[in-house]
Amino acid sequence: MSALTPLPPLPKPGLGRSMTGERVVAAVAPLLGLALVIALFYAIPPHPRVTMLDLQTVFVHMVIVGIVALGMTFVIISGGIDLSVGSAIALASVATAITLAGGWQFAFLNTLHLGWLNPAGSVNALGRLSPILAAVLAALLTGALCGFYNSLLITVLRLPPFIATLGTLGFYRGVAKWISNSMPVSAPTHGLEHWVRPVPLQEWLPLAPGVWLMLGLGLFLAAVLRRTVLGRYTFAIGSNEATARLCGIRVARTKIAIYVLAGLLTGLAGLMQFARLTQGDPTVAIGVELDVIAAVVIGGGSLAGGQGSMLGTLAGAFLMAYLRNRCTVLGWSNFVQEMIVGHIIIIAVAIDQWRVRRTER
Amino acid sequence: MRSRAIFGLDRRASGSLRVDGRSLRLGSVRRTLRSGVGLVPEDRQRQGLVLMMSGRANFSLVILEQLRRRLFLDQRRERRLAQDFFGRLDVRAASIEAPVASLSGGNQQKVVLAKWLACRLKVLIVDEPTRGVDVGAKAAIHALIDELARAGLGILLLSSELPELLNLSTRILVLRAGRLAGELPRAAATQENLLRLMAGV
Repeated sequence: MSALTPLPPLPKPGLGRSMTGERVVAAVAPLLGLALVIALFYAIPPHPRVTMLDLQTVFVHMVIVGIVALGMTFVIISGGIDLSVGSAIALASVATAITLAGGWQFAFLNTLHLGWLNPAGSVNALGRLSPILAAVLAALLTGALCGFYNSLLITVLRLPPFIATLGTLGFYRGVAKWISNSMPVSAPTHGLEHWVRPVPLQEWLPLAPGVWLMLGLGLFLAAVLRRTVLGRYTFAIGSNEATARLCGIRVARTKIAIYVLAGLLTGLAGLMQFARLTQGDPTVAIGVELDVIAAVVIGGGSLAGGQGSMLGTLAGAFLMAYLRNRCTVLGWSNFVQEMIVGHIIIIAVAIDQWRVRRTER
Repeated sequence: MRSRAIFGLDRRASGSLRVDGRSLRLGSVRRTLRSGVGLVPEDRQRQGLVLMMSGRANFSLVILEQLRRRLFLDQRRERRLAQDFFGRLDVRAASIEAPVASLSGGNQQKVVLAKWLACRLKVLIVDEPTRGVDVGAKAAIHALIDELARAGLGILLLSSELPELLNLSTRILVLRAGRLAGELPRAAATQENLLRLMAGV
Protein backbone atom coordinates (compact mmCIF):
# COMPACT_ATOMS: atom_id res chain seq x y z
CA MET A 1 0.00 0.00 0.00
CA SER A 2 2.85 2.33 0.86
CA ALA A 3 4.16 2.03 -2.67
CA LEU A 4 1.02 3.60 -3.98
CA THR A 5 0.79 6.69 -1.81
CA PRO A 6 2.38 9.05 -4.34
CA LEU A 7 -0.35 8.24 -6.83
CA PRO A 8 -3.01 10.92 -6.86
CA PRO A 9 -6.29 9.53 -5.62
CA LEU A 10 -8.85 9.63 -8.37
CA PRO A 11 -12.18 8.67 -6.91
CA LYS A 12 -14.40 7.45 -9.69
CA PRO A 13 -18.12 7.82 -9.40
CA GLY A 14 -20.24 5.12 -10.97
CA LEU A 15 -18.34 2.21 -9.48
CA GLY A 16 -21.10 1.53 -7.00
CA ARG A 17 -22.93 -1.68 -6.22
CA SER A 18 -25.18 -2.66 -9.00
CA MET A 19 -26.60 -5.86 -10.32
CA THR A 20 -26.64 -6.20 -14.05
CA GLY A 21 -29.70 -7.77 -15.64
CA GLU A 22 -27.75 -10.89 -16.45
CA ARG A 23 -26.88 -11.48 -12.81
CA VAL A 24 -30.51 -11.12 -11.77
CA VAL A 25 -31.50 -13.72 -14.38
CA ALA A 26 -28.73 -16.04 -13.18
CA ALA A 27 -29.94 -15.73 -9.59
CA VAL A 28 -33.61 -16.29 -10.38
CA ALA A 29 -33.27 -18.96 -13.11
CA PRO A 30 -33.01 -21.99 -10.78
CA LEU A 31 -36.04 -20.86 -8.81
CA LEU A 32 -38.01 -20.41 -12.03
CA GLY A 33 -37.14 -23.93 -13.13
CA LEU A 34 -38.20 -25.14 -9.70
CA ALA A 35 -41.58 -23.42 -9.93
CA LEU A 36 -42.03 -24.85 -13.41
CA VAL A 37 -41.35 -28.45 -12.34
CA ILE A 38 -43.60 -28.13 -9.31
CA ALA A 39 -46.38 -26.70 -11.49
CA LEU A 40 -45.86 -29.50 -14.01
CA PHE A 41 -46.23 -32.20 -11.38
CA TYR A 42 -49.10 -30.45 -9.74
CA ALA A 43 -50.91 -30.30 -13.10
CA ILE A 44 -51.28 -34.09 -13.09
CA PRO A 45 -54.71 -34.92 -11.61
CA PRO A 46 -56.04 -35.63 -9.00
CA HIS A 47 -55.77 -32.39 -7.04
CA PRO A 48 -56.44 -33.00 -3.38
CA ARG A 49 -56.56 -29.83 -1.33
CA VAL A 50 -53.09 -28.95 -0.02
CA THR A 51 -53.24 -29.12 3.74
CA MET A 52 -50.86 -27.86 6.38
CA LEU A 53 -50.02 -31.49 7.10
CA ASP A 54 -48.93 -32.05 3.48
CA LEU A 55 -46.53 -29.14 3.73
CA GLN A 56 -45.25 -30.28 7.12
CA THR A 57 -44.69 -33.75 5.70
CA VAL A 58 -42.75 -32.55 2.67
CA PHE A 59 -40.55 -30.38 4.87
CA VAL A 60 -39.80 -33.23 7.26
CA HIS A 61 -38.96 -35.50 4.36
CA MET A 62 -36.46 -33.02 3.00
CA VAL A 63 -34.52 -32.72 6.27
CA ILE A 64 -31.95 -35.47 5.69
CA VAL A 65 -31.27 -34.67 2.03
CA GLY A 66 -31.40 -30.94 2.80
CA ILE A 67 -28.81 -30.99 5.61
CA VAL A 68 -26.39 -33.16 3.62
CA ALA A 69 -26.92 -30.98 0.54
CA LEU A 70 -25.79 -27.88 2.49
CA GLY A 71 -22.39 -29.50 2.97
CA MET A 72 -22.38 -30.89 -0.56
CA THR A 73 -22.83 -27.33 -1.83
CA PHE A 74 -19.41 -26.40 -0.38
CA VAL A 75 -17.87 -29.56 -1.83
CA ILE A 76 -19.32 -29.03 -5.31
CA ILE A 77 -18.43 -25.32 -5.40
CA SER A 78 -14.83 -26.28 -4.55
CA GLY A 79 -14.85 -28.47 -7.66
CA GLY A 80 -15.22 -31.76 -5.78
CA ILE A 81 -17.95 -34.30 -5.18
CA ASP A 82 -18.84 -36.66 -2.33
CA LEU A 83 -20.49 -39.93 -3.30
CA SER A 84 -20.04 -41.48 0.15
CA VAL A 85 -22.75 -39.48 1.97
CA GLY A 86 -25.39 -42.23 1.92
CA SER A 87 -23.03 -44.71 3.58
CA ALA A 88 -21.78 -42.06 6.01
CA ILE A 89 -25.39 -41.32 7.05
CA ALA A 90 -25.93 -45.02 7.77
CA LEU A 91 -22.66 -45.22 9.71
CA ALA A 92 -23.48 -42.12 11.76
CA SER A 93 -26.98 -43.40 12.52
CA VAL A 94 -25.56 -46.73 13.71
CA ALA A 95 -22.94 -44.90 15.82
CA THR A 96 -25.73 -42.79 17.35
CA ALA A 97 -27.78 -45.87 18.17
CA ILE A 98 -24.83 -47.70 19.76
CA THR A 99 -24.02 -44.62 21.84
CA LEU A 100 -27.60 -44.30 23.05
CA ALA A 101 -27.70 -48.02 23.78
CA GLY A 102 -24.70 -47.31 25.99
CA GLY A 103 -22.52 -50.01 24.57
CA TRP A 104 -19.67 -48.40 22.69
CA GLN A 105 -16.85 -50.13 24.43
CA PHE A 106 -18.81 -53.29 24.61
CA ALA A 107 -19.76 -53.33 20.95
CA PHE A 108 -16.20 -52.71 19.89
CA LEU A 109 -14.63 -55.22 22.23
CA ASN A 110 -17.21 -57.80 21.24
CA THR A 111 -16.56 -57.43 17.55
CA LEU A 112 -12.87 -57.88 18.25
CA HIS A 113 -13.71 -60.94 20.38
CA LEU A 114 -12.28 -59.12 23.38
CA GLY A 115 -15.54 -58.86 25.34
CA TRP A 116 -13.84 -60.33 28.41
CA LEU A 117 -11.70 -57.16 28.62
CA ASN A 118 -14.77 -55.09 29.51
CA PRO A 119 -14.76 -54.83 33.30
CA ALA A 120 -18.19 -55.20 34.79
CA GLY A 121 -19.86 -51.89 35.51
CA SER A 122 -17.31 -49.75 33.65
CA VAL A 123 -18.86 -46.47 32.65
CA ASN A 124 -19.14 -45.50 29.03
CA ALA A 125 -17.28 -42.21 28.65
CA LEU A 126 -20.03 -40.62 26.54
CA GLY A 127 -22.74 -42.17 28.67
CA ARG A 128 -22.02 -39.79 31.52
CA LEU A 129 -23.22 -36.86 29.42
CA SER A 130 -26.86 -36.18 28.81
CA PRO A 131 -27.94 -38.90 26.38
CA ILE A 132 -29.03 -36.46 23.66
CA LEU A 133 -25.77 -34.54 23.85
CA ALA A 134 -23.88 -37.83 23.66
CA ALA A 135 -25.92 -38.85 20.61
CA VAL A 136 -25.27 -35.52 18.87
CA LEU A 137 -21.54 -35.75 19.63
CA ALA A 138 -21.32 -39.34 18.37
CA ALA A 139 -23.12 -38.45 15.13
CA LEU A 140 -21.04 -35.31 14.48
CA LEU A 141 -17.78 -37.04 15.32
CA THR A 142 -18.54 -39.97 13.03
CA GLY A 143 -19.48 -37.63 10.19
CA ALA A 144 -16.42 -35.45 10.70
CA LEU A 145 -14.14 -38.49 10.65
CA CYS A 146 -15.71 -39.69 7.40
CA GLY A 147 -15.21 -36.25 5.85
CA PHE A 148 -11.64 -36.07 7.13
CA TYR A 149 -10.78 -39.45 5.67
CA ASN A 150 -12.26 -38.42 2.31
CA SER A 151 -10.21 -35.21 2.37
CA LEU A 152 -6.99 -37.08 3.14
CA LEU A 153 -7.52 -39.38 0.18
CA ILE A 154 -8.11 -36.33 -2.01
CA THR A 155 -5.28 -34.10 -0.77
CA VAL A 156 -2.56 -36.54 0.31
CA LEU A 157 -3.07 -39.38 -2.15
CA ARG A 158 -4.30 -36.84 -4.73
CA LEU A 159 -7.15 -39.06 -5.86
CA PRO A 160 -9.94 -37.49 -7.88
CA PRO A 161 -12.83 -36.86 -5.43
CA PHE A 162 -15.11 -39.02 -7.55
CA ILE A 163 -12.87 -42.08 -7.12
CA ALA A 164 -11.91 -41.42 -3.49
CA THR A 165 -15.51 -41.13 -2.34
CA LEU A 166 -16.65 -44.01 -4.53
CA GLY A 167 -14.19 -46.11 -2.53
CA THR A 168 -15.32 -44.77 0.84
CA LEU A 169 -18.94 -45.29 -0.22
CA GLY A 170 -18.18 -48.98 0.06
CA PHE A 171 -15.89 -48.63 3.05
CA TYR A 172 -18.27 -46.67 5.33
CA ARG A 173 -21.13 -49.04 4.51
CA GLY A 174 -18.89 -51.92 5.49
CA VAL A 175 -17.89 -50.28 8.77
CA ALA A 176 -21.57 -49.60 9.55
CA LYS A 177 -22.39 -53.27 9.05
CA TRP A 178 -19.33 -54.35 11.04
CA ILE A 179 -20.04 -52.35 14.19
CA SER A 180 -23.74 -53.27 14.09
CA ASN A 181 -23.20 -56.95 13.21
CA SER A 182 -25.29 -56.19 10.08
CA MET A 183 -28.40 -55.80 12.23
CA PRO A 184 -30.44 -52.69 12.99
CA VAL A 185 -29.42 -51.37 16.42
CA SER A 186 -32.33 -50.41 18.65
CA ALA A 187 -31.82 -47.79 21.32
CA PRO A 188 -33.85 -45.52 23.58
CA THR A 189 -34.58 -42.35 21.58
CA HIS A 190 -34.97 -39.87 24.49
CA GLY A 191 -37.50 -37.92 22.44
CA LEU A 192 -35.23 -37.50 19.42
CA GLU A 193 -37.95 -38.92 17.17
CA HIS A 194 -40.00 -35.76 17.69
CA TRP A 195 -37.39 -33.71 15.87
CA VAL A 196 -38.55 -35.19 12.58
CA ARG A 197 -42.24 -35.89 13.09
CA PRO A 198 -44.38 -33.80 10.68
CA VAL A 199 -46.43 -32.26 13.51
CA PRO A 200 -44.17 -30.93 16.25
CA LEU A 201 -44.89 -31.51 19.92
CA GLN A 202 -44.83 -27.79 20.58
CA GLU A 203 -48.05 -26.45 19.10
CA TRP A 204 -46.64 -22.97 18.54
CA LEU A 205 -44.05 -24.38 16.12
CA PRO A 206 -45.56 -24.75 12.66
CA LEU A 207 -42.70 -27.02 11.51
CA ALA A 208 -40.72 -29.76 13.23
CA PRO A 209 -37.51 -28.83 15.14
CA GLY A 210 -35.39 -30.75 12.61
CA VAL A 211 -36.79 -28.57 9.83
CA TRP A 212 -35.96 -25.39 11.76
CA LEU A 213 -32.49 -26.71 12.39
CA MET A 214 -32.00 -27.28 8.65
CA LEU A 215 -33.33 -23.83 7.72
CA GLY A 216 -31.21 -22.13 10.39
CA LEU A 217 -28.09 -23.96 9.26
CA GLY A 218 -28.94 -23.01 5.67
CA LEU A 219 -29.06 -19.31 6.54
CA PHE A 220 -25.87 -19.49 8.60
CA LEU A 221 -23.97 -21.42 5.93
CA ALA A 222 -25.19 -19.03 3.24
CA ALA A 223 -23.44 -16.28 5.20
CA VAL A 224 -20.34 -18.46 5.65
CA LEU A 225 -20.24 -19.10 1.90
CA ARG A 226 -20.51 -15.44 0.89
CA ARG A 227 -18.88 -13.56 3.74
CA THR A 228 -16.06 -15.59 5.21
CA VAL A 229 -12.53 -16.36 4.13
CA LEU A 230 -13.39 -20.06 3.87
CA GLY A 231 -16.36 -19.34 1.60
CA ARG A 232 -14.37 -17.11 -0.73
CA TYR A 233 -11.52 -19.60 -0.90
CA THR A 234 -14.04 -22.32 -1.75
CA PHE A 235 -15.23 -20.37 -4.77
CA ALA A 236 -11.69 -19.46 -5.83
CA ILE A 237 -10.39 -23.05 -5.62
CA GLY A 238 -13.42 -24.39 -7.46
CA SER A 239 -13.22 -22.00 -10.36
CA ASN A 240 -9.45 -21.67 -10.73
CA GLU A 241 -7.14 -23.67 -8.52
CA ALA A 242 -3.97 -22.34 -10.21
CA THR A 243 -4.86 -18.74 -9.45
CA ALA A 244 -5.88 -19.66 -5.92
CA ARG A 245 -2.46 -21.23 -5.34
CA LEU A 246 -0.65 -18.17 -6.72
CA CYS A 247 -2.61 -15.97 -4.35
CA GLY A 248 -1.15 -17.86 -1.41
CA ILE A 249 -4.29 -19.83 -0.59
CA ARG A 250 -3.46 -23.09 1.19
CA VAL A 251 -5.47 -25.26 -1.17
CA ALA A 252 -5.05 -28.61 0.59
CA ARG A 253 -5.87 -27.21 4.01
CA THR A 254 -8.97 -25.47 2.65
CA LYS A 255 -10.16 -28.69 0.99
CA ILE A 256 -9.74 -30.57 4.26
CA ALA A 257 -11.85 -27.94 6.03
CA ILE A 258 -14.53 -28.19 3.34
CA TYR A 259 -14.82 -31.99 3.52
CA VAL A 260 -14.81 -32.01 7.32
CA LEU A 261 -17.57 -29.39 7.35
CA ALA A 262 -19.56 -31.48 4.86
CA GLY A 263 -18.89 -34.53 7.07
CA LEU A 264 -20.22 -32.77 10.17
CA LEU A 265 -23.45 -32.03 8.32
CA THR A 266 -23.66 -35.61 7.05
CA GLY A 267 -23.22 -36.79 10.65
CA LEU A 268 -26.09 -34.54 11.73
CA ALA A 269 -28.19 -36.06 8.94
CA GLY A 270 -27.28 -39.49 10.33
CA LEU A 271 -28.71 -38.38 13.69
CA MET A 272 -31.91 -37.35 11.90
CA GLN A 273 -31.96 -40.71 10.14
CA PHE A 274 -31.78 -42.44 13.52
CA ALA A 275 -34.55 -40.19 14.83
CA ARG A 276 -36.80 -41.06 11.90
CA LEU A 277 -36.35 -44.84 12.19
CA THR A 278 -35.74 -44.87 15.98
CA GLN A 279 -32.98 -47.35 15.26
CA GLY A 280 -29.56 -47.37 13.65
CA ASP A 281 -29.90 -49.29 10.40
CA PRO A 282 -26.65 -50.04 8.52
CA THR A 283 -28.53 -50.58 5.25
CA VAL A 284 -30.38 -47.28 5.25
CA ALA A 285 -29.88 -44.25 2.94
CA ILE A 286 -28.64 -46.18 -0.08
CA GLY A 287 -28.57 -43.88 -3.09
CA VAL A 288 -29.20 -40.70 -1.08
CA GLU A 289 -26.15 -39.15 -2.77
CA LEU A 290 -28.22 -38.93 -5.96
CA ASP A 291 -30.93 -36.81 -4.34
CA VAL A 292 -28.31 -34.67 -2.61
CA ILE A 293 -26.28 -33.97 -5.73
CA ALA A 294 -29.49 -33.32 -7.67
CA ALA A 295 -30.60 -30.82 -5.02
CA VAL A 296 -27.32 -28.90 -5.30
CA VAL A 297 -27.30 -28.87 -9.11
CA ILE A 298 -30.97 -27.91 -9.36
CA GLY A 299 -30.17 -25.08 -6.96
CA GLY A 300 -27.60 -23.64 -9.36
CA GLY A 301 -24.48 -25.57 -8.32
CA SER A 302 -22.14 -26.51 -11.14
CA LEU A 303 -20.29 -29.82 -11.22
CA ALA A 304 -17.47 -27.91 -12.94
CA GLY A 305 -17.01 -26.01 -9.66
CA GLY A 306 -17.12 -22.34 -8.76
CA GLN A 307 -20.88 -21.97 -8.68
CA GLY A 308 -23.69 -22.68 -6.27
CA SER A 309 -25.75 -21.19 -3.47
CA MET A 310 -27.19 -22.37 -0.17
CA LEU A 311 -30.70 -21.08 -0.74
CA GLY A 312 -30.74 -22.60 -4.22
CA THR A 313 -29.69 -25.91 -2.69
CA LEU A 314 -32.48 -25.78 -0.11
CA ALA A 315 -34.95 -25.04 -2.91
CA GLY A 316 -33.54 -28.03 -4.82
CA ALA A 317 -33.89 -30.28 -1.78
CA PHE A 318 -37.48 -29.10 -1.37
CA LEU A 319 -38.14 -29.99 -5.00
CA MET A 320 -36.77 -33.51 -4.54
CA ALA A 321 -38.94 -34.05 -1.45
CA TYR A 322 -41.98 -32.61 -3.20
CA LEU A 323 -41.51 -34.89 -6.21
CA ARG A 324 -41.29 -37.99 -4.04
CA ASN A 325 -44.29 -36.84 -2.03
CA ARG A 326 -46.32 -36.13 -5.15
CA CYS A 327 -45.49 -39.56 -6.59
CA THR A 328 -46.80 -41.11 -3.38
CA VAL A 329 -49.95 -39.01 -3.49
CA LEU A 330 -50.49 -40.05 -7.12
CA GLY A 331 -50.11 -43.66 -6.04
CA TRP A 332 -47.08 -44.27 -8.26
CA SER A 333 -44.82 -47.11 -7.23
CA ASN A 334 -41.38 -46.67 -5.82
CA PHE A 335 -39.71 -47.75 -9.05
CA VAL A 336 -41.48 -44.91 -10.91
CA GLN A 337 -40.03 -42.46 -8.38
CA GLU A 338 -36.57 -43.88 -8.97
CA MET A 339 -36.93 -43.60 -12.72
CA ILE A 340 -38.07 -40.01 -12.42
CA VAL A 341 -35.41 -38.96 -9.90
CA GLY A 342 -32.71 -40.51 -12.09
CA HIS A 343 -33.78 -38.34 -14.97
CA ILE A 344 -34.13 -35.23 -12.85
CA ILE A 345 -30.39 -35.56 -12.21
CA ILE A 346 -29.62 -36.22 -15.86
CA ILE A 347 -31.62 -33.16 -16.92
CA ALA A 348 -30.15 -30.92 -14.21
CA VAL A 349 -26.58 -31.89 -15.07
CA ALA A 350 -27.28 -31.55 -18.80
CA ILE A 351 -28.50 -28.00 -18.23
CA ASP A 352 -25.43 -27.33 -16.07
CA GLN A 353 -23.06 -28.61 -18.80
CA TRP A 354 -24.83 -26.46 -21.36
CA ARG A 355 -24.38 -23.43 -19.07
CA VAL A 356 -20.66 -24.17 -18.59
CA ARG A 357 -20.08 -24.58 -22.33
CA ARG A 358 -21.87 -21.31 -22.99
CA THR A 359 -19.74 -19.32 -20.54
CA GLU A 360 -16.50 -20.90 -21.77
CA ARG A 361 -17.20 -19.94 -25.35
CA MET B 1 7.72 -20.54 -16.45
CA ARG B 2 10.71 -18.47 -15.31
CA SER B 3 8.57 -16.29 -13.10
CA ARG B 4 6.87 -19.34 -11.60
CA ALA B 5 10.26 -20.71 -10.57
CA ILE B 6 11.18 -17.50 -8.80
CA PHE B 7 7.82 -17.35 -7.14
CA GLY B 8 8.25 -20.75 -5.60
CA LEU B 9 5.79 -22.76 -7.63
CA ASP B 10 8.34 -24.87 -9.45
CA ARG B 11 9.93 -27.21 -6.95
CA ARG B 12 12.50 -28.51 -9.43
CA ALA B 13 14.06 -25.06 -9.82
CA SER B 14 17.52 -24.56 -8.37
CA GLY B 15 19.53 -21.45 -7.51
CA SER B 16 19.21 -18.84 -4.83
CA LEU B 17 17.16 -15.71 -4.34
CA ARG B 18 17.62 -12.76 -2.04
CA VAL B 19 15.09 -10.10 -1.15
CA ASP B 20 16.51 -7.02 0.60
CA GLY B 21 19.72 -8.95 1.22
CA ARG B 22 17.92 -11.74 3.01
CA SER B 23 17.90 -15.06 1.24
CA LEU B 24 14.55 -16.59 0.43
CA ARG B 25 13.97 -20.30 0.54
CA LEU B 26 12.16 -21.47 -2.57
CA GLY B 27 9.23 -23.84 -2.75
CA SER B 28 6.43 -22.02 -0.97
CA VAL B 29 4.16 -19.37 -2.41
CA ARG B 30 3.16 -18.16 1.03
CA ARG B 31 6.78 -17.68 2.11
CA THR B 32 7.51 -15.72 -1.04
CA LEU B 33 4.44 -13.57 -0.44
CA ARG B 34 5.40 -12.94 3.17
CA SER B 35 8.81 -11.69 2.10
CA GLY B 36 7.07 -9.09 -0.05
CA VAL B 37 7.23 -10.51 -3.57
CA GLY B 38 4.15 -10.57 -5.79
CA LEU B 39 3.64 -12.06 -9.23
CA VAL B 40 1.66 -10.84 -12.21
CA PRO B 41 1.75 -14.06 -14.23
CA GLU B 42 2.08 -14.39 -17.95
CA ASP B 43 -1.23 -16.19 -18.41
CA ARG B 44 -3.58 -13.91 -16.52
CA GLN B 45 -6.75 -15.81 -17.46
CA ARG B 46 -5.47 -19.11 -16.13
CA GLN B 47 -3.18 -17.97 -13.30
CA GLY B 48 -3.86 -14.34 -12.55
CA LEU B 49 -7.60 -14.20 -12.20
CA VAL B 50 -10.64 -16.19 -11.20
CA LEU B 51 -12.70 -15.26 -14.24
CA MET B 52 -16.11 -16.16 -12.83
CA MET B 53 -15.67 -13.99 -9.74
CA SER B 54 -16.27 -10.27 -9.51
CA GLY B 55 -13.55 -7.67 -9.77
CA ARG B 56 -13.96 -7.00 -6.05
CA ALA B 57 -13.52 -10.67 -5.07
CA ASN B 58 -10.47 -11.02 -7.32
CA PHE B 59 -8.96 -7.86 -5.92
CA SER B 60 -9.29 -8.96 -2.29
CA LEU B 61 -8.19 -12.58 -2.73
CA VAL B 62 -4.67 -11.99 -1.33
CA ILE B 63 -5.71 -9.69 1.53
CA LEU B 64 -8.82 -11.62 2.66
CA GLU B 65 -7.27 -12.77 5.92
CA GLN B 66 -6.57 -9.14 6.83
CA LEU B 67 -10.15 -8.16 5.99
CA ARG B 68 -11.56 -10.68 8.45
CA ARG B 69 -13.22 -9.43 11.59
CA ARG B 70 -13.90 -12.40 13.83
CA LEU B 71 -15.75 -14.89 11.63
CA PHE B 72 -17.00 -12.65 8.86
CA LEU B 73 -15.33 -10.38 6.34
CA ASP B 74 -15.53 -6.63 6.64
CA GLN B 75 -17.26 -6.23 3.31
CA ARG B 76 -17.70 -2.51 3.62
CA ARG B 77 -13.96 -2.05 3.94
CA GLU B 78 -13.39 -4.50 1.13
CA ARG B 79 -15.71 -2.56 -1.18
CA ARG B 80 -14.11 0.75 -0.22
CA LEU B 81 -10.60 -0.55 -0.89
CA ALA B 82 -11.63 -2.11 -4.20
CA GLN B 83 -13.28 1.10 -5.37
CA ASP B 84 -10.29 3.14 -4.28
CA PHE B 85 -7.75 0.97 -6.11
CA PHE B 86 -9.89 0.47 -9.21
CA GLY B 87 -10.31 4.24 -9.34
CA ARG B 88 -6.58 4.91 -9.01
CA LEU B 89 -5.67 2.36 -11.66
CA ASP B 90 -8.56 3.54 -13.82
CA VAL B 91 -10.11 0.08 -14.22
CA ARG B 92 -12.95 0.44 -16.69
CA ALA B 93 -15.73 -1.87 -15.53
CA ALA B 94 -19.50 -1.63 -15.21
CA SER B 95 -18.93 -1.90 -11.45
CA ILE B 96 -16.61 -3.60 -8.99
CA GLU B 97 -19.22 -6.38 -8.91
CA ALA B 98 -18.93 -7.22 -12.61
CA PRO B 99 -17.29 -10.61 -13.28
CA VAL B 100 -13.74 -10.05 -14.53
CA ALA B 101 -14.52 -12.32 -17.49
CA SER B 102 -16.54 -9.41 -18.85
CA LEU B 103 -13.60 -6.97 -18.80
CA SER B 104 -11.18 -6.23 -21.64
CA GLY B 105 -7.66 -7.71 -21.50
CA GLY B 106 -6.12 -4.43 -20.35
CA ASN B 107 -8.63 -3.93 -17.57
CA GLN B 108 -8.20 -7.54 -16.47
CA GLN B 109 -4.46 -6.92 -16.19
CA LYS B 110 -5.16 -3.81 -14.10
CA VAL B 111 -7.27 -5.90 -11.73
CA VAL B 112 -4.30 -8.27 -11.28
CA LEU B 113 -2.03 -5.29 -10.60
CA ALA B 114 -4.53 -3.80 -8.15
CA LYS B 115 -4.68 -7.11 -6.28
CA TRP B 116 -0.92 -7.07 -5.66
CA LEU B 117 -0.68 -3.38 -4.89
CA ALA B 118 -3.18 -3.80 -2.07
CA CYS B 119 -0.62 -5.83 -0.08
CA ARG B 120 2.64 -4.39 1.13
CA LEU B 121 5.10 -5.43 -1.54
CA LYS B 122 8.78 -4.81 -2.03
CA VAL B 123 9.12 -6.52 -5.38
CA LEU B 124 6.58 -7.18 -8.10
CA ILE B 125 7.43 -9.71 -10.77
CA VAL B 126 5.64 -8.72 -13.94
CA ASP B 127 5.65 -11.41 -16.63
CA GLU B 128 4.68 -10.30 -20.14
CA PRO B 129 2.28 -7.67 -18.80
CA THR B 130 0.99 -6.45 -22.15
CA ARG B 131 0.43 -9.71 -23.97
CA GLY B 132 -3.05 -9.65 -25.50
CA VAL B 133 -3.71 -6.08 -24.43
CA ASP B 134 -4.89 -3.39 -26.86
CA VAL B 135 -2.68 -0.40 -27.70
CA GLY B 136 -4.35 2.15 -25.44
CA ALA B 137 -4.32 -0.08 -22.38
CA LYS B 138 -0.74 -1.07 -23.17
CA ALA B 139 0.39 2.54 -22.78
CA ALA B 140 -1.62 2.84 -19.57
CA ILE B 141 -0.03 -0.28 -18.11
CA HIS B 142 3.44 0.95 -19.08
CA ALA B 143 2.77 4.30 -17.42
CA LEU B 144 1.52 2.51 -14.33
CA ILE B 145 4.60 0.28 -14.07
CA ASP B 146 6.80 3.35 -14.48
CA GLU B 147 4.91 5.18 -11.77
CA LEU B 148 5.17 2.25 -9.37
CA ALA B 149 8.92 2.00 -9.93
CA ARG B 150 9.26 5.73 -9.23
CA ALA B 151 7.29 5.28 -6.04
CA GLY B 152 9.93 2.83 -4.81
CA LEU B 153 8.53 -0.56 -5.74
CA GLY B 154 11.08 -2.97 -7.16
CA ILE B 155 9.88 -4.20 -10.53
CA LEU B 156 11.20 -7.30 -12.22
CA LEU B 157 9.89 -7.17 -15.75
CA LEU B 158 10.04 -10.26 -17.93
CA SER B 159 9.29 -9.54 -21.53
CA SER B 160 10.04 -10.60 -25.05
CA GLU B 161 9.08 -7.23 -26.50
CA LEU B 162 12.18 -5.11 -27.04
CA PRO B 163 10.52 -1.66 -27.04
CA GLU B 164 8.82 -2.51 -23.75
CA LEU B 165 12.15 -3.46 -22.17
CA LEU B 166 14.03 -0.49 -23.59
CA ASN B 167 11.42 2.00 -22.42
CA LEU B 168 10.85 0.70 -18.93
CA SER B 169 14.10 -0.78 -17.66
CA THR B 170 17.02 0.69 -15.76
CA ARG B 171 18.94 -2.54 -16.15
CA ILE B 172 18.39 -5.35 -18.63
CA LEU B 173 19.59 -8.91 -18.11
CA VAL B 174 19.53 -11.12 -21.16
CA LEU B 175 18.90 -14.82 -20.77
CA ARG B 176 19.79 -17.18 -23.58
CA ALA B 177 18.91 -20.87 -23.36
CA GLY B 178 18.40 -20.52 -19.61
CA ARG B 179 21.78 -18.88 -18.93
CA LEU B 180 22.74 -15.29 -18.28
CA ALA B 181 24.12 -13.93 -21.55
CA GLY B 182 24.89 -10.44 -20.38
CA GLU B 183 23.79 -7.30 -18.61
CA LEU B 184 23.08 -3.88 -20.07
CA PRO B 185 22.82 -0.69 -18.02
CA ARG B 186 20.35 1.90 -19.25
CA ALA B 187 23.01 3.93 -21.06
CA ALA B 188 24.11 0.96 -23.14
CA ALA B 189 20.62 -0.38 -23.73
CA THR B 190 20.05 -0.05 -27.41
CA GLN B 191 18.16 -2.36 -29.69
CA GLU B 192 21.39 -3.31 -31.41
CA ASN B 193 23.23 -4.25 -28.21
CA LEU B 194 20.25 -6.22 -26.99
CA LEU B 195 19.90 -8.17 -30.20
CA ARG B 196 23.59 -8.93 -30.17
CA LEU B 197 23.40 -10.41 -26.67
CA MET B 198 20.27 -12.34 -27.56
CA ALA B 199 21.85 -13.83 -30.66
CA GLY B 200 25.14 -14.48 -28.89
CA VAL B 201 27.47 -12.86 -31.42
